[in-house]
Amino acid sequence: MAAITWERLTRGIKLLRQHLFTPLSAAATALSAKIAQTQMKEGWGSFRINLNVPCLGGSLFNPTEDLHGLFMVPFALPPVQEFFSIEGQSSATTPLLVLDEITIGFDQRGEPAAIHDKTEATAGLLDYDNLEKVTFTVSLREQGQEVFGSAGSDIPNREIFSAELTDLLFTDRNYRANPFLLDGIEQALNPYRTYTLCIDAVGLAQAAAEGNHALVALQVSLRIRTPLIARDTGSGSNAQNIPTKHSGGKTGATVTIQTPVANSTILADGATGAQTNIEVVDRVLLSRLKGGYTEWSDVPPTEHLQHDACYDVIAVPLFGRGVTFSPANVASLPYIGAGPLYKSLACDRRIIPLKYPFTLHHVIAVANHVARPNAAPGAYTDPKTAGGANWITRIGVGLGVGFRSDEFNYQQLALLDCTGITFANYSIDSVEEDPASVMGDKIHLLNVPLVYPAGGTRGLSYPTTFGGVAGTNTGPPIYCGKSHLGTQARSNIANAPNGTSVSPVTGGQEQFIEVRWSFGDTVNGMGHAATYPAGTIFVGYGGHWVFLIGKKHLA
Amino acid sequence: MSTRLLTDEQFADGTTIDGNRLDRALDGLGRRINRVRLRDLAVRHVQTQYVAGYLPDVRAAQDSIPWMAAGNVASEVVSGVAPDDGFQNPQRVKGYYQHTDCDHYVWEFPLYFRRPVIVADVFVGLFIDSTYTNDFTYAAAPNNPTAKTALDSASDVSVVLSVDNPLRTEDRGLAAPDLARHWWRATAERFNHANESVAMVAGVDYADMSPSFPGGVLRGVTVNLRDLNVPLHRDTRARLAVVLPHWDGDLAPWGAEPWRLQYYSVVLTVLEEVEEG
Repeated sequence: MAAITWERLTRGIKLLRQHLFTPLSAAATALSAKIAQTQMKEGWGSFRINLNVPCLGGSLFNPTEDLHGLFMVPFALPPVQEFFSIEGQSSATTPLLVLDEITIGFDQRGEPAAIHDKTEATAGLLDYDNLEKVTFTVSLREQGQEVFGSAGSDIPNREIFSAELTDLLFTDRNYRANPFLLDGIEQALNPYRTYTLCIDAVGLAQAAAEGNHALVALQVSLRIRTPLIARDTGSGSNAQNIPTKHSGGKTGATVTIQTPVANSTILADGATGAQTNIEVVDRVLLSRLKGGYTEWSDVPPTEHLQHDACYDVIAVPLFGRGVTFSPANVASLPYIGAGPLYKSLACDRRIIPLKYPFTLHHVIAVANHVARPNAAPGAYTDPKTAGGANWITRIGVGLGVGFRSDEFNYQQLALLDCTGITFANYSIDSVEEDPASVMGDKIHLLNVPLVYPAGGTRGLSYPTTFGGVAGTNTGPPIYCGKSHLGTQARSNIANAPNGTSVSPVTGGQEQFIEVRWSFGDTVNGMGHAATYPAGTIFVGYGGHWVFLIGKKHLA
Repeated sequence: MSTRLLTDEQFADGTTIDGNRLDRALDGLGRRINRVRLRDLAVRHVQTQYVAGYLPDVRAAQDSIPWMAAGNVASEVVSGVAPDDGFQNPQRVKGYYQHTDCDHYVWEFPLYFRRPVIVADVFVGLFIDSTYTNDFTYAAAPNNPTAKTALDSASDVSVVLSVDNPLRTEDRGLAAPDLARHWWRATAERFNHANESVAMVAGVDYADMSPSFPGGVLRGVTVNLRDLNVPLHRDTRARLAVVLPHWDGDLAPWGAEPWRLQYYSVVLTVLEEVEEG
């Protein structure tokens, strides 16, 4: 709602009822679930890109001049579906994204020391003699996205910020800046660009007899501010699995202003008095303005806030172990079957409990196929190219019930199932270090479609080529939240991309989100040397990532 | 009744109702409604989730990173010799339960909160299947730890969230363990009791969602600290630590490499307040 206005009562002007009761009525109308974000002094929320890396070791970097290497985690921040532009163009209504701060921390075992990398026989031990190794540069870089026609290099070419963190920060007995905070960045981010967090830690790499060192249990957090926005509804945004008790809609609070009749005296007290009606509005503020969702997916009986949701990103790490998975160590992966061919799929999964409701809008998968720089031609092989139609990548997001309960079930939320041939159909963008072939293949950002009913309402996302009409090859937003008896009944949800609309099998009782990623070759096997030679990068250093993008709510 | 928030002006029959007083009242009304403050909001936080995970090497005798020993002693130094100034923190996690005849391994995440936050939830999942086969049960006598009952459920994992002392940040002995969970019995913390009886066969997928999971139905033990409402002050340096035991003699169920017997999901949920743009 637009801001309320009022007339100035200049000297000598005759007091009319509209001078007082028009703005009071406008205030009452605003308080009926129409307090917009622009009317809130603290009308911005925040979200974080939280990246947890079990180990970032010197074994990734090459101290040879001009090679070095980079640890990279690319991500994208597409607008939620109602603001998404299939042309990749921001508009005046696209919510801003402002990078505010970054924190970086790692485990030094509580000592002013470096830690030896996994590649050393002394892995995990303290090294007090090579403290200068703990030096690295962290930066955030930007590039245009291929899905919106950005041609040319996949090297991120615009630096948003960069900071060199030297050993002086981490090696003093009295104070170590670990975790390290860099705030006040205040850089606007473009929702139609790819951003890559880059860490150059070549200092960790082995030189002479010092051995490789590592940043163990590395935790990076990028905090981004954004204005509050409206939550999803069953009708407006066609949200799936939303509680039918309210369908996300709002019941505005009833704030009644009693205006005096025409030509009557304006009094202070009484039902139509000035003081009485000012107090009506005042009491609403005293009892505080309501909005958002409870932990159990319920809404207040009446609400005042129009914008009570916030953009959110949940970063999910998979296959991160501080190594590159290649034929040399593929046997370290679970579920791959018997050697030497290993014809079953490897799989990893993460369980994310639902605390407060979350509405899923996009799923972006980051397939990492880079390794330590190696300038020798043909040193590395891309498994997608090598395996072709036999190379399988399957990424799924599901809603689960079963945590300490009698029920155990899953509802599919998103699914990508492709081969090395069809991989490109889901591609948003690719990222590489300079030059690409030196670190192997690229890191690919993929759009994982949300479930949607065949012939039914679709959502809006990246115009990848999968599924027919560009930009609508995904489903409408999906509500995820715990429930009590009153909020258990849910709207329908599709059971697959281009599937059937069904009543959710989780029955509104979901408790967690699960992300799964499996890959492999069930025909030749990952151990088939002729198909996957020694330099094949099954999973790049640092592992894969899945970003769940959507809305969270005021709580 | 009187007006509390909108304006200082109070109107009553029998008093003046000057235009300038009404003007001030309307100013207060308009400015307040057009710019509601934090104090006016009944809901003012949004959640943020930190997700971590680890899929251990299935082969034996590998390194333990990111798990590292809880104690800093000479044998934990590359040179084998303690530093000249001595160890700053001989124990690096304050607040975990230290069992006798037992070493401990820690996976620790450092976090920094510039603004105050509220810790809402801590979830630590240790999941098992046909490949990761921890049964979370001590062996029969005499192969059980002395301090533990034979064939009893494991009760030796700790989860600690500690906050560095703001004045002596590097002295872990002065840290404040804001959250700690010890001595919890694995059998009482199963993820889903019914799933425990579902047969798991290596190489047979469990098709509960796509992609199907090759290890079997979801099972394991979890530490789920809910509804915590623990405030952390501004500029907090917090560390979330998961501590596993390594009993002398490599006793079951943890054996020689306790980190290798299960895969992990760890989620920390905090609430952060809304703010100005």
